[in-house]
Amino acid sequence: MALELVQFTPVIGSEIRGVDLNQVDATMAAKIKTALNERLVLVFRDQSLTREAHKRFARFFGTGQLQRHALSRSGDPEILDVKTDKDSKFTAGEGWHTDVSCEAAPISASMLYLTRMPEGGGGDTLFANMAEAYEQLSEPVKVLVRTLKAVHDGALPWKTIYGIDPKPGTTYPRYEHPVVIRHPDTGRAVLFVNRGFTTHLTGVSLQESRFLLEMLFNHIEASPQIQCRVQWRPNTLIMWDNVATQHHAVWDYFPQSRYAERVSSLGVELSAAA
Amino acid sequence: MTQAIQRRPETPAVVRAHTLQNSIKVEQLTCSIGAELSNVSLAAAAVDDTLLAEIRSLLLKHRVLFFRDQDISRAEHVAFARRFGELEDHPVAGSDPDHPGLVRIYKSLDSKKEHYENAFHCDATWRECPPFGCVLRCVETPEVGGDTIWVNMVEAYEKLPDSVKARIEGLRAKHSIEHTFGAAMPPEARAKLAAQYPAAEHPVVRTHPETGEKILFVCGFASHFVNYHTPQNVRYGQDFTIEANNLMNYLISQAEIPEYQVRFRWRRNSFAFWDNRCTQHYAVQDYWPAVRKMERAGIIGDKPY
Repeated sequence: MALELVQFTPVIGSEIRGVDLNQVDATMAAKIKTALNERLVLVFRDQSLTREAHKRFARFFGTGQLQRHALSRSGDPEILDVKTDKDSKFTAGEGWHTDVSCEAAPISASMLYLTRMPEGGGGDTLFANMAEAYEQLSEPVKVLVRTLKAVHDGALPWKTIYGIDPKPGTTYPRYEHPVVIRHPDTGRAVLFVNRGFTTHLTGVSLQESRFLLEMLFNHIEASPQIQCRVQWRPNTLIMWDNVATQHHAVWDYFPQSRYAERVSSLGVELSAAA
Repeated sequence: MTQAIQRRPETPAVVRAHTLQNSIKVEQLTCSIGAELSNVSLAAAAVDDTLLAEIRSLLLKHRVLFFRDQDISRAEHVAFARRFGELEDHPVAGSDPDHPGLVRIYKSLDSKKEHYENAFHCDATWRECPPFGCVLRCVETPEVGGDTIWVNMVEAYEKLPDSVKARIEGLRAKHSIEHTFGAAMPPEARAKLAAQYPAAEHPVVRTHPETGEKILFVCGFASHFVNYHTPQNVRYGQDFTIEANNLMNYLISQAEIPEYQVRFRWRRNSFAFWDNRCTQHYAVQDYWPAVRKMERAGIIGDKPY
């Protein structure tokens, strides 16, 4: 049986109908994986997902291992509770970013399950297709960025922005990735720098780095033709290809509360696009 | 009576002229901007002062209003828009020959596949008096693609840091058609366009003439500040242009913040009616080579202050 897909935009995002995520088997997971490679963001409505089923579903993707979240407060490091309310000073992901790109083998796919909608609505999430972001650069700039590497540092969002110290005796992960990576499954060239984690380019002057990165970040933010905007409902699960997308969680509902749970499948080390 | 409802109705309202006049339903689309109105016909509203007043007050509140399934004539489209003021033609996009003021925005296979033509903008700020608002109808759209985004520029101003608000108080900027619509023209044609529509100067922060709200009023049409290079700021020659350019870029990029946006998916006979004084918009160009046809009635506005 083929999956029923409803597209949000021509280049990114589809709603999948008729799938109960508690019941996914390997065959269904393979179909979902194919759809994910093509659409990058998949939306499943009206689920009633247990925490165990959420983790079970996630193990079908990436390496089969789950991310152990550095900032998890749920008691289970494999589940990241995202809680935003009237006392929040920030919310998770209120800027364009890739999840945890500071690791050597970044998350392959993230699955976020919304358990509480803000009263009165709001809290949409935007996603951007980073293969399209690369495609839509001009030819000379494509040639330039393919030669570059960038440092991604967990201390940028977690310490500098959120002010959270790492656990005693540890430091946040930090890793250098190619600026244009080859997607591990599809082979597409993907622009892989993000305002959340990328601190600087290597092999160029700091001044060049600052302006080049700013140009690339602005290209992503100012290009709605590579984006979709998804409205949540309670019990919606959204799954995204974390390597080929960036996302932005809209925080327009303050002081209302929004709760969600994220489970993420680990990926592989990324190589440069040819 | 305006009734707020939380959830989208299961089936779209059937809209026919001269029916369902007294119960506009309002569904807010985001926390910041945009509401979908149902149970109302724009053709009926054009000849009903009560309905019209209600729509006007909803426009001031939500800044952009959406209407689905409005199977009305071009004449009725124009008649509705005319209730808010005179209509204007566009010097580059042509108008419907039988309905002056109804500008055709038609894209098809023959249109250039152009990723770079769009930017967040407020319509026609290169005019001395930019439009009050526009009433846009979708005539034809691909099944997927071609959404439009609107941005709440009152909120964009409100949320600026106080230090930035202080820096931009009293600033003025030039807005021109020459460096935007004219950019891709041959030099002679561009010079002619610039002579016909000289650059306009507007305050960077304008005041909404009806609500008194402050609005961040620079967009892709703004080329530069005209009164920022003061003796207090400049030490040597052009040294302050970097600061001015960075500030201009920062202000223009405020429209890119998703917290201030709504993204609307069109269907045939969907209408959008926006307050052009306090919003910007962006027509997403992701559907080439599909056909997308829109018709816009632009309503002449006041001089910004």
